[in-house]
Amino acid sequence: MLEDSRLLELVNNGDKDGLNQIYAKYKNELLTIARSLLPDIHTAEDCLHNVIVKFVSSNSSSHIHNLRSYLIKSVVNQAKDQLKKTKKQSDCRVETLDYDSNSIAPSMRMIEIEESNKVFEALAKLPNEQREVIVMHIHGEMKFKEIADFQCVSTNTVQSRYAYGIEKLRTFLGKES
Amino acid sequence: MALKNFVPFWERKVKMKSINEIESLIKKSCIKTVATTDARILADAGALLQKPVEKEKVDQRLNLSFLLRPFFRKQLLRFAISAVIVIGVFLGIYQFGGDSSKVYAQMTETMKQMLWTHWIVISQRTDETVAESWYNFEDSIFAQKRNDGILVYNNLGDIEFTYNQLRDKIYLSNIRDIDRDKDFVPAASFQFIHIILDYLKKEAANISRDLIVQAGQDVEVVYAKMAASCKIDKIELKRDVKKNLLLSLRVDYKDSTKDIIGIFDYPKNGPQSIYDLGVSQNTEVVNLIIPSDIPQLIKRINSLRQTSLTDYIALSLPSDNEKLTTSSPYKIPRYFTANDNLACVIYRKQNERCQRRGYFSIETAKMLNILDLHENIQNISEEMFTVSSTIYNSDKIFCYQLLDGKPVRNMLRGQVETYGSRIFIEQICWPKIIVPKNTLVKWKVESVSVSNKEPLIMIERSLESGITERWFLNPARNYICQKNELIRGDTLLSEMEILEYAKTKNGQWYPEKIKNTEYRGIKGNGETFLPETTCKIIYLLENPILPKILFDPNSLPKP
Repeated sequence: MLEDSRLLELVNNGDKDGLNQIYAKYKNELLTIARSLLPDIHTAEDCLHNVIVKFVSSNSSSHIHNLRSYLIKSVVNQAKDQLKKTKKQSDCRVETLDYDSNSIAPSMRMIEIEESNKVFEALAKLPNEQREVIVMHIHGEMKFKEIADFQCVSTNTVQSRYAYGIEKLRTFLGKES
Repeated sequence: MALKNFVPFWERKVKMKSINEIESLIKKSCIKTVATTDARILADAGALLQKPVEKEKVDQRLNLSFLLRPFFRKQLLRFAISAVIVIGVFLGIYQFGGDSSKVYAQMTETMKQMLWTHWIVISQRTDETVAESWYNFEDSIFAQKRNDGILVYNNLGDIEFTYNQLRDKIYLSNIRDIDRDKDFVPAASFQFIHIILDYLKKEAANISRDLIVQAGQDVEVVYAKMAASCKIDKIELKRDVKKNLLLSLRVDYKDSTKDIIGIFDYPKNGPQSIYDLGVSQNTEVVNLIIPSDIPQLIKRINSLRQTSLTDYIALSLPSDNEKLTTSSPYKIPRYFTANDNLACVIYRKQNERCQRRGYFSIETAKMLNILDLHENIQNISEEMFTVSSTIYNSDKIFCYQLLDGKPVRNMLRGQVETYGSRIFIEQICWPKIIVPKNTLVKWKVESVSVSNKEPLIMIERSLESGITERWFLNPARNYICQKNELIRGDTLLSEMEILEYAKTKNGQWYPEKIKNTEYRGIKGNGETFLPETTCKIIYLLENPILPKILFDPNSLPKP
């Protein structure tokens, strides 16, 4: 796998291999982040789709210094937009019924394992700001300082959000098995 | 031993998960994309990558191949604008009155009647030839040669030849509508006269004239000083007075690095093909021309989707061997038994559509014979425990879902005919075949013989990203798409196949048994996912009486 800077250069030059490699490298991580922030896999896939399409069409790839961080932030922003549009964060269990036996890819909604679903359900119960911090820190491996810059708040606020969020998750995710 | 470790319940403490455990749990909660999602995202993004958006040039060598087409366009556009101004100058001269207005008005007509109009555009800054072009109005040919490639439009043949020097390939494609609209093709090359009328009004050109002798010819020189707001500073054109033909056109921009001069002549011969412009006969030719029968077939399929099976009610049930044996038990409401299965009732009345999904007893279905089932579809839908309902109203989708018998979601979603949607019978029968614009696409159409089966027509569409989709149409069954395959490279991603057909009382074919298979790629540990196949049976009644309320989004229960 090539380095991100080289992959970006390839995408800048319209090279599809570059795009394919970037996508293959980050797709699962980005989908997981999107799914952690959004109510169902369907919306998360839309989010991933929009981020990748915007990344290619925005013509901004030449100005990206840290591709991974850029894509993660794009997913978070896109997820925020989608949440604003729907204004709903439905119970995650709902999607388990959203199985359309007629669609082209019926198994798309069957790939989430139950264990992950519990975590997503718990995350969905958190306020947006706490959820974002947790997802960006754990899945995105971003530092609190970086998240603070992104959310335009102090590092202390981010750390508080993280601590409160994790504490709530401890309650939601229950006792030790 | 057991007693030794025994802790009485009053001494037991509830031990919560530690922060580290919670973090680890979140970290482990990963999901993976599926192959079809990957294919779609890469196809859409890849198409944009090919789309000639105005990308900045970072490295000329690297960008050359990508920029070839837009680069041509930009230059063409620049010169077209210059030419527009020239015509505008002529029109401005109309204001002078007298014979000159008539002379200049006729000049464009004279140019059109020449066998060929040939001109070289030179950059005044570098003194280098930017482009060499030929127009043939009679045969409607336009050719342009540059250092980095060659472009030829054969307007009558509806063919565009592009020689990409970096790739050393010739691309043959149909002339795109976008090019026609922007006057890049000969037939439209003087349509911009109308545009300049507005342009002159806005830019308030100041025009003066002079008469000189150049190489023994009487030459009229027209100077136009453009308004301060205009990007162009001044224009100078020279006209052969005797022949009434344009000799040269000089355009000075406010940004002098863009200054160009075009020198015109009118030869008897011009390039007959791209090879006459220096491309080797051995150059590989990539044929991207859409076979003439494909647009016709797509039009036919679109029409059938709109006009066939317009009033029906259909029940879709999983086939006998597909009971609720899913490995995801949480997907099944707990009060349903293993004999129940997810059924789908679909209603369509012209452009109004509704879909209801719910659980229905297979045992009940078996008790009815097929004829009864056909007759009782409407009743069956009422017996079904509906878990979701979706109304496709105009271009909007409204849906609600039930959980534990209560509506939990009522929302507006996406658009009706999303790509690849196979919810309604007509979408399965006559799927939407997208003709991407601004994307290099290879099309193929051929007759496919399958032993002991009716011959099919295969349409194949390959995108440069390596995504190929095939539609196999059955002419004997009203061009129903009998099979559809989605492929990436050599890997089959998904396929749909109609296994059995049935006929409505009105004689309309429809699919009675459909198999869908999704090949789900490779797991994170390198193992291959097993293909996932679903099979469903469809019962369909045409022209039922459907209550209007079915299609009313307001009828959906509110959470």
